[in-house]
Amino acid sequence: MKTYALGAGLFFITLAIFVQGLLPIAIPESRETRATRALRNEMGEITWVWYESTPYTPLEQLGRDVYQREGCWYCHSQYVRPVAGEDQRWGPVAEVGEYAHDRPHLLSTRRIGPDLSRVGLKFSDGWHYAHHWSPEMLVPDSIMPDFPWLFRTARVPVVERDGAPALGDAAALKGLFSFAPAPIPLRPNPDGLAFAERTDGTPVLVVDNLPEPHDRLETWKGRTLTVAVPTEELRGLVAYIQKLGTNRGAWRDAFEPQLISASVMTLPRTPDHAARGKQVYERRCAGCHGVKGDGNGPAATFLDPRPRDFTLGSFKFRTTPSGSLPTDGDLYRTLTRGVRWTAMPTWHELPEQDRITVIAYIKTFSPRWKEEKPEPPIVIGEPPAPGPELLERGKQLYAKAKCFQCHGEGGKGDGPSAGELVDDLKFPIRPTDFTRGQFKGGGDVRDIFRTMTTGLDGTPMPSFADSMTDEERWAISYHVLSFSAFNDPLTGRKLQLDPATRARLNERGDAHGAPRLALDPGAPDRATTTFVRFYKGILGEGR
Amino acid sequence: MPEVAVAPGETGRMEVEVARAMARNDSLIDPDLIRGWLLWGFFWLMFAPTVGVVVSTKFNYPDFLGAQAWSTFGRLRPVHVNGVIWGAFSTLFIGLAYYVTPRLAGVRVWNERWAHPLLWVWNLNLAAAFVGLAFFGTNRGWEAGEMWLPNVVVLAACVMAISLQLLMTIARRVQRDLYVSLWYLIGALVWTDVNLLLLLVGPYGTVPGINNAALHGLFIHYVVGLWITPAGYVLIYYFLPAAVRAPIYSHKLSLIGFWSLAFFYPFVGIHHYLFSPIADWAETIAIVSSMMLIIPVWTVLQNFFGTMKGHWAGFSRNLPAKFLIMGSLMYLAGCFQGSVEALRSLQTPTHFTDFVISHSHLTVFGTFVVWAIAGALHVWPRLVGRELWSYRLGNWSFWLITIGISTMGLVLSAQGLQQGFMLMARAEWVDTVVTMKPFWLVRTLSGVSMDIGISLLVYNFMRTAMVAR
Repeated sequence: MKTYALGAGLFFITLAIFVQGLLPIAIPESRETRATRALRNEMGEITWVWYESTPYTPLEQLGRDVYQREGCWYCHSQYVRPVAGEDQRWGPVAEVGEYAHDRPHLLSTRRIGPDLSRVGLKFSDGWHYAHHWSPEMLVPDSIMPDFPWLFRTARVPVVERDGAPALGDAAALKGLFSFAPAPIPLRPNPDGLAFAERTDGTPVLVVDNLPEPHDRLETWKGRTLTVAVPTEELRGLVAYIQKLGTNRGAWRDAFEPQLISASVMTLPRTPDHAARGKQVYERRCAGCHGVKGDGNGPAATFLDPRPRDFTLGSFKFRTTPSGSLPTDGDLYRTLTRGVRWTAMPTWHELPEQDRITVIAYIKTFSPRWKEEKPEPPIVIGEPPAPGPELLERGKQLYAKAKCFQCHGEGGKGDGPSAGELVDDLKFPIRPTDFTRGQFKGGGDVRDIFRTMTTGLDGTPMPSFADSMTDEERWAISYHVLSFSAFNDPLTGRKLQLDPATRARLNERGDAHGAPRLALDPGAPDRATTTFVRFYKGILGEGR
Repeated sequence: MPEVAVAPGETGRMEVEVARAMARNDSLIDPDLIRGWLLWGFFWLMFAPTVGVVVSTKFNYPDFLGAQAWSTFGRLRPVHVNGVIWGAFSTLFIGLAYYVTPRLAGVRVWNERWAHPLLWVWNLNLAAAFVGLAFFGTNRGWEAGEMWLPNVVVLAACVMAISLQLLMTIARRVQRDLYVSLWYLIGALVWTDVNLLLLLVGPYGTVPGINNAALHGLFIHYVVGLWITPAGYVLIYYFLPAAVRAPIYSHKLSLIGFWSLAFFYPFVGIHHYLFSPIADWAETIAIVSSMMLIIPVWTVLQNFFGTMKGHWAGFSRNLPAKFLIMGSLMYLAGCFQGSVEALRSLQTPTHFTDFVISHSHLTVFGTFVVWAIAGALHVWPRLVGRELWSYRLGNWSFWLITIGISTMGLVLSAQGLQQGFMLMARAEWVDTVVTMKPFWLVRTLSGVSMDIGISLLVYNFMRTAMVAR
């Protein structure tokens, strides 16, 4: 009897380990190493394909170890559930293949902070450095701790040299920088903190293009700056964070809550409305853009490109002609989608009312909004159907219009003049690297067309409205998008897809326009035949 | 056979025999050994919940204790969780097991001389593990199994040595029938040996991806379901009849409870990862088993309240019984919550929120640590040979702990539902965090209340021992 009982007790736990532990492992689906991945095809459309998840690079793995060591996973989960509206908040629902290289898993059971499985490429590296230095700087309500031990710092006095402020005691910085000939500009924030991501050069204090009064010698002379650079561990951690979710590719360019595109909308302009917006602004925006809206918030020293200076009333992403103020709709669109490859995240989660009021408040920083009215927006219209001829024409026009001068022959943003470009405030500015497909103004062909037509005010990107016809601008827009065709948004590298798969992905229409419809290169293409889709619909398959 | 299976009001001759039996039982234990385990248990009992209060304070004051690596939430949370599981609860439990087992088996502990070095190895190993977690970040990434590998090895070796000792003691018992406490003791020890072996040599580092999470789900719930739960039952099945001097209500019910626990508990782990990419059928099995756990929970509770029937007189001055019954009420609430939150519909809002944290505190602390405290209240005066130094102070501890854990359970449930429903209504993330802040403050204060109650209790124990000397 006793033996039976002992046997039964052990049998139950063994049965459970078998049923709940070993059986799931035995099911091939649980060992799937591919995930559905969004990519841009040569026609500029986002389509989905089953693709192998990539392992972590040594740097990303180092960051993952730090993430595990510091217990980041106690507060940040890493999976998106198909319920509670999570696929409209974080991004696509989690798939097995995304975790193929996770050992141990870091799914987590608690969200004290947000889910991170879709955070990759939502912010710039600089934003993450700032956020680890002091989360409260960016998000005043945040309860995340600071991580000062992931930085190396030095305290340096500011002295006068040639009538300008300069770093006094270079010896203190010897441990931080290599002092190779290349200059590394340090632009301190109003609190006297200066961050540099690169360390392979000589640090130089640069204040002349900071907003009033931080461009003056008197402001800085005699003060002591804190100079901070990231440790290798923090670089790894940021690389790991940026990697999260990118096995799903360019999903953000197909993410409905972010694709809102407004051009004309009218927002109420009452002092009350702006006052409400002020509260939103101070909780969400002031960390980068500054309480005074001058683009010099405490986090600005971490960011490249720097945050917009609202006091100038100059805006990049508009439907209005070059030099005009944007429409309220333009600001709403930028706010909702964010500005990719910069610190400006998507704000699709923010309640609409908050987005609307904060726009009203942003418009109080510059007198331009009182003196001028936005000019009528351009008409974008329907893009022509793309095809090989149009793309070829775009390629020729890209050369003819000398786009390569800045953006490079291969669209990598490495053209001959790329290194010399500065914006209107004399801050260095990089031409966009088209191969990653991370377009600041949006990744639809209409967005590229709009940028080509209106130009990006305050930057070297001109308007081509007068120098080119609509048809020519459409052709170039398609060509610009095609640089990122079949590329990984994180690395900018081409995915390994055979020509037949590429051809199928290039087909027009929405046959593969959602994760559940993703093209499986290994399987016969049944998803596209009407009969099978109808049949599957009856069976309720693939929901 | 518990020492007190004698109904009150029997003849004087019976009482003499009971006294004789008790004296014989007292000769079976090593008071120094048990005192050592309980003292370390009291230390962890003060330490681990205090770490909890510290990390909880950070919800409202993120800069509390400054910005060093060792004082961050991420470094201290595993110290709190492992400190309560392996420190406060397990150390007290092992000490009490050294008291309960020889009395129920009628023989001294097998190879008793092992137990003194084990006491030091166990506790110094835990201390080293917590130093590693906080100061060196030796975190293996498996919740409730985070300790540095060498620490896990030592911990597992200790559990196995103790298992061997106690199982051999039971094998050499003088009476054929096993009292239900021993059933649970055998279960807890054997299952946990298997589970720690799983953590050590199992697929932790080899199986990647989503299956790693499924296995972790099993592991974490084996810790609570196949260690803490049966271990806690060992204690209450022994100390409740002992405290109220009444036989257990129904042995048949206790067997139903045991076998339903043994059958259903091993399957529930994956309910930690519902709606994840783990296969739906595996999740469903976990949900069904979680609901079936109502059977063992309600049968043991029926047994406890049945035992109390007719013995409520004098309850208010019976501190061990009060703690045991309070713990049972928390168990009713906490386990009902645990079962229903495994349902997909309730998990949709509550998963990832403090609702789950409410469940874990109500059960692990509110029930099992409280039962262990009750056991200590019963055993400590007998070890030092004197009644508790102050009943009044003990009663204060009881109410501070009771009010603390009840408030914590309520506020965490409320805020979990609040945040969950806010998120379902598409509130912005940081807005939901801001909404949580007043709840978190109450939660920290409730933790402070529990902590003061515990500290007063330990003070009470120390005064008891000092007066005795």
